[in-house]
Amino acid sequence: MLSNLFMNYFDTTAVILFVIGFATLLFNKNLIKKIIGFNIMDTAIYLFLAAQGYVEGRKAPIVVNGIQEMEAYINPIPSGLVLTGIVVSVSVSALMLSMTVVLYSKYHTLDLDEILMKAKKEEIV
Amino acid sequence: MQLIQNFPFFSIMIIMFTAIICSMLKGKAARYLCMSSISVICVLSLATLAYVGNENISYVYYMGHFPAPWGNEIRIGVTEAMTATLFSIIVLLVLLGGGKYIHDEIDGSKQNYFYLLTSLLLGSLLALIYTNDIFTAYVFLEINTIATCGLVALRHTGRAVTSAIQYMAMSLLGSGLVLIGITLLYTMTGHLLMSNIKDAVALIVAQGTYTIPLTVVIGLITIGLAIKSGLYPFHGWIPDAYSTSAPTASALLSGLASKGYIILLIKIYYRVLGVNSIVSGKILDVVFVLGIIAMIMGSIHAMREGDIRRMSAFSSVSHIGYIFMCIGMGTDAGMTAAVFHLYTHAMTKAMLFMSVAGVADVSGLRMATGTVHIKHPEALFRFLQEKMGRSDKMKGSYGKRRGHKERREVINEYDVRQQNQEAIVAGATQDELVGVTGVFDSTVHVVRSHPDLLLRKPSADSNRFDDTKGAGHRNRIAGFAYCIGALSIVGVPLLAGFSSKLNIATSVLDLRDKLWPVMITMAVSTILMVVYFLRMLIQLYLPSDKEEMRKVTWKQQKGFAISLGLFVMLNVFFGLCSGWVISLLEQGMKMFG
Repeated sequence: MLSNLFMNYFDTTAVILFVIGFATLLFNKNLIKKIIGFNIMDTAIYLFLAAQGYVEGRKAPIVVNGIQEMEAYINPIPSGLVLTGIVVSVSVSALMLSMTVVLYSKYHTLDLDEILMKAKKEEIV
Repeated sequence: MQLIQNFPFFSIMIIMFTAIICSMLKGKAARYLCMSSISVICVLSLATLAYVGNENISYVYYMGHFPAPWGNEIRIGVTEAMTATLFSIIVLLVLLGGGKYIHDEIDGSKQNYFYLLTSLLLGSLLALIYTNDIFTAYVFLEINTIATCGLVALRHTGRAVTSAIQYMAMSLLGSGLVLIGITLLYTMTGHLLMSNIKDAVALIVAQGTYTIPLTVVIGLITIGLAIKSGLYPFHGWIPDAYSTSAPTASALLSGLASKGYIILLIKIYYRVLGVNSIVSGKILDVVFVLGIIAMIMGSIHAMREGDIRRMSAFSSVSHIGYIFMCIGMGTDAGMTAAVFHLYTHAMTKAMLFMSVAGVADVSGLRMATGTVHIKHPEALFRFLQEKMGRSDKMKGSYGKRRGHKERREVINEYDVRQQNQEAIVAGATQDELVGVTGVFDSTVHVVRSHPDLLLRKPSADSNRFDDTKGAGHRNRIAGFAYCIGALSIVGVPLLAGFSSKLNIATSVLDLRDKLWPVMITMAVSTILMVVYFLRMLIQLYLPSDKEEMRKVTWKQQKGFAISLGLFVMLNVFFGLCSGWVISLLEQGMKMFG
């Protein structure tokens, strides 16, 4: 099994990056680091997806010196899916960053624990 | 192709363009545009439902008239049309009734964003219901997440934005897992359209290749969508998100936020993976067990809550457990029961949260300026002892909870009197406590606050359970709607919740090994729900002793009254005509796969 992991090094790297990203998202208190963690997580999935389209020895589907037959190109669909996914990831990053800006302008800190404490105090007093 | 077959496509386009145009309008104009387009969509969806119901077909619509595999497809059947109709009616009624709360709770310049996000929410739900392509489903899944998180964060209090961030973090994990599952599925089958994937998966199962990857795909997609809908261990975001958002937003979210993901999960089970490969795998047992745990734990957490919105949010957790338990049964009857419970839950929860908003509006402290609560009365007495020095002269009575002994102490410059079961401390100093009024079985009220004590700000509306005493008399519409909603959730006959629970119970009768867990858990869960819902109902209709509280008549809030009246009628309709609705749903589920 270990040789399988080594042969499909794209997929192994993608999963390791996913776990790193998720751990960063979950365990860091700093809001900006959480957003970076989520971005690493999504990028790992796009690496996984894009690697599915690669076929050894073939080129990207760009027209150079006329169109060749189908066997000369890699599978273009996963790259298209990755583009869609990147757009989704950008929208989510934009939303989370705008929420961070709102929180920072209210509480002047980026630490989520401190923000929660201040917000709870604000509710009681 | 007849004109009526284009209606679902028109609905999605109309609502998407409404969302875009709403970003450019002011608050009032955005509201009128949003509500008129949603009314148009209700009419279109009803027409579609009538068409597919009469013809008994399920047709495929090629977007842009390009056939597969070059073009995208949506597929319309009876289940899809019925779900779309119901969801658009719910959104319309919530917007109709919640106009006042949007106006009060959200800044004037941001009100059009509320309507934009609501349109996006409905648009993504419609697309999730109708789509026949798995990657389109993923994209609209993310749009749904963005719309719901935006709705939570739109009220710019600190708690709302932090709960939106925590919701977003959990949701992103779910999306990530779903996307990995979709990637693996594409790699194994080579198709993205759901019907083509199903043929390829049937081939894979028949040949016996790729067994482990297929199991992994099923597991990833199920767990990912379960995380996004808030099944038990992943439910942490539900109470925070539903209780800190604006009242109308919480009504919308409680009804519709998790439902799109569950519909997508059922659709993937029927149309992508095929029910045979699901049942032979073990994932349905996992979902079943988690659903049963959710049913009990949701109600147990709800009983302990002191905030009425968090209480209703935990009962939402419990009902999502019901739906997943029905999915976990694995039969066609079970799936029909799950979808019917989804409909009744969406309807009832939206009505419940709207009425809770009305109740909270007339609760809360309305004493003279500077009235606050004290959280820990011992701190008050210790403070008074320290500051005043002479403890032998402290006199005051208060009761912590029913059954605890009272304490009597005399305060020097503070004359503490007992009057009609209230302890009143009155004094003359400016910057310290000048007066304390307290109620026997609740906490103590302070008229002027001291920073050392943990205190609560005076507010014109309150979500605390203790403050809602007698609110049913002050806001009759909200009290009546809460009554119907609570009785429906508990399962009183003639209302929607009872027919749904009866349907679940009858659909499990054929399964031998899952019969007893389902029956026992449903009974226990119903008893637990009775405890906290009826406790709240009794609290609402106790005689109100705070005469200076706000009263709201139905003439002052016509939109709210009409909307709640229509919700009650919808609930009673689902309760009385449930046989007809369920037979229509069964007809739809047959052509769902």
